[in-house]
Amino acid sequence: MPEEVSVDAGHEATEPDFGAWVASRGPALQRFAYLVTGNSSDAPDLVQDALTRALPRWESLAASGTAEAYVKRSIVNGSISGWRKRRRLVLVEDVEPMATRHEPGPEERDADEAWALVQTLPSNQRAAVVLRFYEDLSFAQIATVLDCAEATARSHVHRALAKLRQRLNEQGSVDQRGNEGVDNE
Amino acid sequence: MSDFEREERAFRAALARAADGFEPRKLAIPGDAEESGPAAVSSKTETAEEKTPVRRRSTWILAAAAAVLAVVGLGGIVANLQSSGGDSTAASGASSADDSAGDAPKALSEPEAAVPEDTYTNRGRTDLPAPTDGNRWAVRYDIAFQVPQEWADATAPALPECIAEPGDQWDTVPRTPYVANITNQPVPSIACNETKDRDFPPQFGKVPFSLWQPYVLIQKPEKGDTYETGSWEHEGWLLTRVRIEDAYATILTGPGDEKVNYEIKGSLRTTPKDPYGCETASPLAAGDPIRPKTNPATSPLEGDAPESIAICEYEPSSASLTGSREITGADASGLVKAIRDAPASSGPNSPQNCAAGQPVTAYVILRIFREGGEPGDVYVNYENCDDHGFFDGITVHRLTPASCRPVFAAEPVTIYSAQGDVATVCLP
Repeated sequence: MPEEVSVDAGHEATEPDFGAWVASRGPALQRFAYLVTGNSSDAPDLVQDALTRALPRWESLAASGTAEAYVKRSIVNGSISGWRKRRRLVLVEDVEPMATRHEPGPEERDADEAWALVQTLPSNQRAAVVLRFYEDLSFAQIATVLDCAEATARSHVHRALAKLRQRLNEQGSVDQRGNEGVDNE
Repeated sequence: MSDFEREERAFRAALARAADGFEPRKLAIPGDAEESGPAAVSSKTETAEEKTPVRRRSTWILAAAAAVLAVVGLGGIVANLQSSGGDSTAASGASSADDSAGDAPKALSEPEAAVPEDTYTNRGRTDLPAPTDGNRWAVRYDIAFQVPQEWADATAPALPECIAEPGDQWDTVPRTPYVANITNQPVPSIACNETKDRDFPPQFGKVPFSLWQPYVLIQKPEKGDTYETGSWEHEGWLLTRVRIEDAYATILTGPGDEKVNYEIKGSLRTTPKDPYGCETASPLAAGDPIRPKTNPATSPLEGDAPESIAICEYEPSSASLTGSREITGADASGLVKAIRDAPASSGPNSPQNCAAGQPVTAYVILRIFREGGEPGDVYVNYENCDDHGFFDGITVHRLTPASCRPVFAAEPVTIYSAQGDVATVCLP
């Protein structure tokens, strides 16, 4: 499960020191960046850039308890503009683990489909999905992080869910047809 | 209980699994630099940091970030693609030093410090009002409209499969919301204009659905041509096309962003000047020599340090602005000095390697603004065979790497075609 996340005041109040906060939140922020970008090389760089931007404002961010949200928004913004830096590079995704003969169960197949969908979502929608289902944030908190209306955050997530349902249904139809084909032989 | 219980469970499982498979790196923490280097994280950082000035910490972190980039082999490329000190119709509009990379969000509790400084309304260079919060103005031809600040300027192919090398054909499709450039469109392979595997309405074009990004495209049709106007929806994406004067604006937005679509549409207007002070009508028409029509009393390259330089790219055939951006401060001063220092002659010219008589498709005007004075224009001729250089109305200066590369350092002002000698000195 992800580390506890808060965007409300008070969270940073107990950790006002920037270095300590980075040490504490760095791994979680990198996981968030990885889920938002899908690229394990970019994630630490995005976090580092975001921290660089947060540092000059650290005192006020820590005092207001909004450092986490600020840094996450900066990560999302960075993931959106990152293509400009990479656009002439052919990105190679992380190597998948060696295929095994393990036959995935229904829930595992659903998760596979969900991850495949996440990787195709536009950046803001993808971030909303990560914030909702990995960070367990409320829609109001997601809206704060993404700097959008709560309705927009809700819409991002709802449409992703609807899209996943459609894909799962299509997958189910394909599986069913495949099984029927076997039965008929 | 949610109506999407299965889907929510799937998302949670997928994200948890992916996150578990990710190995975080050690981040650079201020105060640890002198003791153990960038990759180390020490439990003593709190003590060290207390003794370290904030400014020093910032520098150190930047150095660490650069080191990470160098490790993954992107350093040189990033350095080339990141324009410095400039803003553009593509840029975020943020102009503070902290936000120069364009990714810094507004602070959640310190709006005054985080709101991007407005760089044009208070300088009176355009009739456009200040954009609404979080938006920026973009201008194509004489059509201005507001888009969210993070939308880039980019070039998109109509049919990615028809784009040949260099690079992956999919790499020609922008990966972020964008305002489409007018110039520098990829040239599709000959006789490649059909595809049969698209399963969405034809109004949405031919970019595969999985690669869709929100965009705004301004088009001026050939004489007699018209485009279909209206609104179309596909899988939550909203496509709107409206006519404004003699142009068409096509707006595509993603699921849940209908409001963005309406707001862009509502902001469309014609304008005589862009946010940086570029005239939206080209002073030169097709066939005109690329130089000022009147000669100033003194060169616009002389005088105090410029406040800013608007880099305005024009298309003589439509007599329109096709792209613009702005540089300020030291970058603006440096460009003026580099032009002034360039030899007082035209060049590089190699007419023996060039087919003469082709129409000029693009040129640039550098509009130099100084405090309290009228702007001065320097014309840049870089296409075709001859007469290349910076023309200030008094002297012509040669295109050199120091003077020309800053002009074409960032989109949407780019070189579409040039002789090899010019490309060598002008392309970043």
